[in-house]
This record gives sequence, C-alpha cells and structure tokens, in this order.
Amino acid sequence: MNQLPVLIRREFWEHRNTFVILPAVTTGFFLLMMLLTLLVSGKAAGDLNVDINVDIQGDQDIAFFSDSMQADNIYAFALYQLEGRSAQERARYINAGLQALGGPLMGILWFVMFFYLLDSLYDERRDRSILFWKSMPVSDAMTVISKLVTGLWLLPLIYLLGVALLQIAAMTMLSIATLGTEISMWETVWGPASIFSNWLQYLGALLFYSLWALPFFGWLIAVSAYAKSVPLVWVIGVPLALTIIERVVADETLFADWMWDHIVPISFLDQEQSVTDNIWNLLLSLQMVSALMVGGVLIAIAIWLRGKADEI
Amino acid sequence: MSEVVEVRNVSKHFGDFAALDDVSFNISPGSIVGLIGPNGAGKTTTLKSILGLTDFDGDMRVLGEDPRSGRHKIMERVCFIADVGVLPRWLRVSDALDYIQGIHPRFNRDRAEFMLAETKIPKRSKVKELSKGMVTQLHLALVMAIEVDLLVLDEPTLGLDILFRKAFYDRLLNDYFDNETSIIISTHQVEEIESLLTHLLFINGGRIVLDCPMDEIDEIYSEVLVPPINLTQANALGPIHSRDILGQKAMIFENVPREELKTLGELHAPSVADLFVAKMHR
Repeated sequence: MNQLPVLIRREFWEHRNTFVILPAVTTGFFLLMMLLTLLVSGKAAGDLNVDINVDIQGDQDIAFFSDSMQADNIYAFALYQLEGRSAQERARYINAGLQALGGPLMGILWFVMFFYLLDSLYDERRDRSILFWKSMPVSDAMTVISKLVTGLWLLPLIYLLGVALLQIAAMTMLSIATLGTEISMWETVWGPASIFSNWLQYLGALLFYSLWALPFFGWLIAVSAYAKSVPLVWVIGVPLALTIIERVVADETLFADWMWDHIVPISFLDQEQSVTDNIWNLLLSLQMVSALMVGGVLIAIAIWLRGKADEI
Repeated sequence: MSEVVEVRNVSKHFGDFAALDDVSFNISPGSIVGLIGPNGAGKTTTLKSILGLTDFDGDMRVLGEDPRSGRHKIMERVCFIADVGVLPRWLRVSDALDYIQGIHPRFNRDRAEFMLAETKIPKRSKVKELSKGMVTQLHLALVMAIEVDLLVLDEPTLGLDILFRKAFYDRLLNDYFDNETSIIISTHQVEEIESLLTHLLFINGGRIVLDCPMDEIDEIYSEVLVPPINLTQANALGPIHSRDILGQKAMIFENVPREELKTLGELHAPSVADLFVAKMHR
C-alpha cells in the first residue's frame, strides 16, 4: 500500500493557509496590481505628461524620461525602452525582468519552507495529536519522508506556478501595450523572452537548492523532532553558538562559512557564471556530496527521534 | 493460541520515579481486560508501552512484535483511543476518512460512514468544531471500522457525561466486540465497566497488585458482613480489608475457604470497586 500520496494530502490539509491560500493571494495581488497599472496609470500618466513636459522643457538630461512618459503606462514605457535596444540586450532585459517577477513569491516560499519544516514534528507533539498519528500503521521514516517531499519539492512547485502566472501576465500586458503601436509584439516581446527556459532554470535552481541546502533542512526537521519548547531558539541558537565558539577558540570561520553557504539560497552562486552553469559545476562537487551526507545524517536523527517522541 | 500481549518485567523510570516497576502480565485473545488504578498508577504508561508510543526496559511482545521497534507494524492490528481527544483540531471528518482509507489496509470505509451516519457529526466539520463527546464518537467510529486484534482504550470516556459513557460502552460491546478481538481498557471508574470485563488488572504505584480472570474473582475473594459478635474470629482469618456498614464490618478475604467464612456472617462476592479499594490499601 503506497501511503505517500495520502500522507502528502494530509500535509496540505494541515497547511492549506501557507501552501495554497498564501501563494494564491500573493499571486492574485500582483496580478491585480499589474492590471491596475495597465488600466489606471494609462490615464494618469497621460495627464501627467502635460505638466512634466512643460516643467522640464529645455532640459536635455531629462528629455529621455520625458519622451518615454508619453507612453500610456508602464508597459508601454518598458516597451519603448526595449524597442530601442539591440536584440541581445532586449533578451537580457526581458529575461532579467521575468526572473525578478519571481522575487517576492520566492522570498515568501523560503519562509514558508523554513517554518513548515521547523514545526512539522513539533506541533504534533505539542497538541498531542502525535498519539493519533502514531496509532496509525505509518512508519516514522515514511512520516519524515512525506514531510520532506512536501516541503522541499511540492511546495516550491506551487509557488513556482504563481511565478509562471505572473510572468505570463506580464508578457500579456506587454503584448497588449503593443496594440495600436508600430512595435512588433513578436520581435520586441515574445521573441527575445525565453519563458520556458526561465521556468526550467527556476525548477533546476529550486531542485538544486533542496539538495544543496539539505543540511539546513535536515537541521530544521531534526530540531523539530527534538525541541521540547520554542524550536526557533534551538534552530538559530546552536549554529550561532558554534560560530562564536569557532571564532573565539580557533579564530576560524570554516564552519560558519560552510553553514552560510548552504543556507542562503544564492550565496553558492558564482556571479560570473549563469545559474545553469553554476548548478552543473556544483552538482557533482565534493561539497555537494558532503552536503547530502550531513543532510542525510540529520534526517536519520529526525526519524530516530520521531520513533522515541511522545507528547510534550 | 498464543497471547496477544506478553509483558515481562517491564519497568520505566522518569528520573528516580518508577512509573512502571517490574510489571508482568498477559492478554489472551478474546478477553476484555480492565486496567484499573488510581491516577498516576502507571495505567497510561503501561498502555503507551504496549503501543510502542514510549520507551521502556524489559521484554514485551505485542502480536509477536517488540513495540519499540515494530510500532507501525503493530498498528496494522491494534487500535488506540486516548483519554482526551487526540484527533488534530484542524482535521476534517471527511479528510479523516480519506486519510485512514489511504494508509490502513484493514479499514472499512463503508462501515465508518455507517457509524458516522448514526451520530450527529457533520462530515464537513473540523474536529475543533465538534463537542468533546462528538470527538470521542468520531474516534470510536473510525476505530470500529478497522478490523483489529487488539483495541487499547485509555480512559476513553473521561470528561463525558453519563449518557455518552453508557452509549460508548454499549456500542463497543454490541457493535464491535467479537471473540477474536481483545480489548484493554484503563479507567478509574470501575463500576461502569465492571460488567464488560473478563479479566482484571489492578495497578498501583507502578506495580500490578491484582491479575485475575473475572470468573475466578469470587472463588478467590469473598466479602462477609460480620456482626460485632464474630469480629475476633473473623480478624483471625486475616481479612485484607474491612469497613463499617451499619454497625457491622464488611470484610474482604483472599483465599479463605467459603465454608470457614459462612459461619461468620452473610457471604457474597465483593464488587470490583470494593475489591479495588481493598487492594489499593494494602
């Protein structure tokens, strides 16, 4: 009997607010903002142009903005900016823009993953429901795995769906802005944008992060299984203490560096290379192997602790 | 047929405090065992040890498995209802059905739906929206739809009113119990379950103080209403407990032949509650 599907559904029942509602509302909020800027700012910017043009007449430095402000709205503004660039630059700007659209959702995702894993084996002990869950024929390993699969892989997928929606919406807005202008929708917007490879990059980066940061996630779930109260204090306090001890006793920052490297989502990236190149280079590195091993040990500890766990 | 539960020299310490102190007993197939003791006697610790929900020292076999390592295997054939509702507050009734159906090979959903239909529990509601009695009803309905070899009930009716309590035990006995299932119930309200039980286990201070089949109770234990005139004679036989009733002494004797007792006064079998008091005082 494959228990994993229903165990994952269980996680979604419990965390509907942060797994479904929060990304939906956030995505919806940004979609609404986009739509409003298209509808409302169109008029406002048009009215504004008059004043601005009057005020800044004769000033060459600002003339550039002045010209662009003739555009109806921010999309048209972006469009004019794009149109004036070479094909290569167009592609760079539009793809950077698409990637940046994911920023807020990805930021929220990080916190949701953090608190989900940190509470995953703590809440059930605190509200005594562990007595119910453990009275069911589900092994501790299966329980922990279901939480990791949910938190590390499915949760990012949902948030990524929101990002994709925002990107499609932005592209659509840009396309609408081309209507009635000389600008070609295909050459300026859809042609240079590599939307699918953008999704693949996001997907790859998220998957990579879930493995690269396995020591971090393993630590979260191990603390979640261990702490008798306020797991947040444990989860931050212990690494902080180790960092200080290392610094004071050995005057080293090896552990601290390694730790930060595996926590902060982008710190592992070499800025000189593309995300994809970074990932390929690190995937089979020794550091990746060590991360997987440390993460694996911490997860095993979490499973063992779950076996001993009782209500608190 | 082998025993459902075998407990051998099990102890459990919390620091210096012995929650269980060298406990041994068996549960046979088809028996309904009452685990009876005052608060803090070790009832919950005993049951949790059987279920693999807590660690202990000593030997234990539940359906042939060591509960410390085989909890999830044991739970395919054992069900558990704890004292206060342990169902998570956010769980929806319909989701609870989906969940157990998805993980439990012995769950009969139709049966659970049927049981629920007989209650006033709305299927769309969450556990936190239900009354305490309803949560217990829900848990019982879920558990009764699972075909198990052992049902473990830890003070299942604590905090419920008398109507719920009666309905709970009626349902348990009539709809659930067959001679292949064993049940162990812990409680300190002895009177309510006395008539259900086939076996008695008294526990006090982490030790088993009585381990006896119900039908042997009146062979071993007798209660005599002794008039004052026979007191000296009665005391000589070593009653394990005595209390005053309307100028007479109600004395409980252990392993004293009835023939000897008959001459002392009115003789009958002690109630489980009186026997419990007698055993707890020793």
